[in-house]
Amino acid sequence: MCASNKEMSSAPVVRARSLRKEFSGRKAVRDIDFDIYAGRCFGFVGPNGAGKTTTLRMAMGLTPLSGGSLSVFGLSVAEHASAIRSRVGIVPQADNLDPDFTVEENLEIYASYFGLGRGEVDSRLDGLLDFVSLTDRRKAKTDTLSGGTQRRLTDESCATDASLEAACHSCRSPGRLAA
Amino acid sequence: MHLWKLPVIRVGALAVWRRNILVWRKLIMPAVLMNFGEPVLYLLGLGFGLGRFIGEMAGMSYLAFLASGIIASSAMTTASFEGMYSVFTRMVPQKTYDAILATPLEVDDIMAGEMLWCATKSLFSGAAILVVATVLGVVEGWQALWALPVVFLIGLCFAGPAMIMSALASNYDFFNYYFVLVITPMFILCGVFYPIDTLPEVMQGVVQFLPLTHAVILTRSLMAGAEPAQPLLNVIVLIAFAVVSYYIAVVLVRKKLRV
Repeated sequence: MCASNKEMSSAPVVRARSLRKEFSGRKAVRDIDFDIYAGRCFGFVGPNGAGKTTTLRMAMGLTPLSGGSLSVFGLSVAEHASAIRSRVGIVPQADNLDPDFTVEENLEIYASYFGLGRGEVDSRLDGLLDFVSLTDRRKAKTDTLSGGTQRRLTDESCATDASLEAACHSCRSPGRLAA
Repeated sequence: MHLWKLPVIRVGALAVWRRNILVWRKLIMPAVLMNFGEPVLYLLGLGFGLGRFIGEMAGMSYLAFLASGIIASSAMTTASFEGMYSVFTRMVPQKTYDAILATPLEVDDIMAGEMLWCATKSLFSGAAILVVATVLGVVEGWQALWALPVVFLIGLCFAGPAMIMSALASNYDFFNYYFVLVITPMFILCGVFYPIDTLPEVMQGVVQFLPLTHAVILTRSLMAGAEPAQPLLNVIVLIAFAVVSYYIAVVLVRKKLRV
């Protein structure tokens, strides 16, 4: 396949070809092709068990492909899962906030997994807490928050990632994948 | 993504270790009570109580003998508890690892961080016992401080097998097998309470394959001034258990969380 310069610049962020996933012989994802371009909202729709979550888990390198190819930011997920995840915010299906920590500690600890230091996080914390309207609950333990509020915080945890650009990127582009 | 790929440990492991120490700090009072309370009870109760009838054992007071054994067995149980109940809690019901795996960290880093943390907890427990034993006057000289890195190593050595159990477990009751069949026999047989050369000859051979035997030889020589015959062998056994069990734990957890 030959791409002109123009096409190169608008290369898909996520590209899947003949993507397949089997769990002990049972086909969960059956040879699917798709491209996700920057700046678009993209959703997978399908009944329960259609393979939506499995596809996203493959895209984040959390479960191996059974066949086909899958790349994110032009990087193959099989070899570059960690590098891909450092640029993507993932909002999981179930809230998995750390119940041992307060709201701001959750954001700070989560950022530390991305290699962000205390100083970098502090400078961004107020904005993030304000964004999810949790400034007055910053010292609250997460298990005292309502279900919806926990959801908002989970959503925001994913925006503390790698860099501010990545965080903004994930708000605007398919970088943020909801599984 | 290959299940058997050799693990790569990166600095991210320290973020996992740090997460755990921050949680520990919030619950510091019961933790410190556990660290000091247990050895004080054991050493005073058994050391003085039994010691009155026993007198000397292996050329030292029974209290000194017991203290230099308990510091190793306590490192074992501390790391084992953390590597099973706490690691399982974070891995399964609490889904902490699912959250961490949505970041650049990998299972390799999580397991390395957990292992370091288990060994750190062993170190806390060992330091408390060393303080208590010093106050009771059964520590022979400054070289006893070398027991601290040894206790850390003992923690690493027992954290790996415990994490393997966590990966295999489907509930908390599963850990009873490991405690009753592995940890308790070592606690009884490996020289904590009496010298292994009083065991039947066959058993003396068997306990050479158990890591706690090597752990106790090291801590006893450092704390009570006994001469180990082959200290290098003892250290190598502990390192080997740590390295091999870490690798197996990583493979099993990859399998458990990823497929």
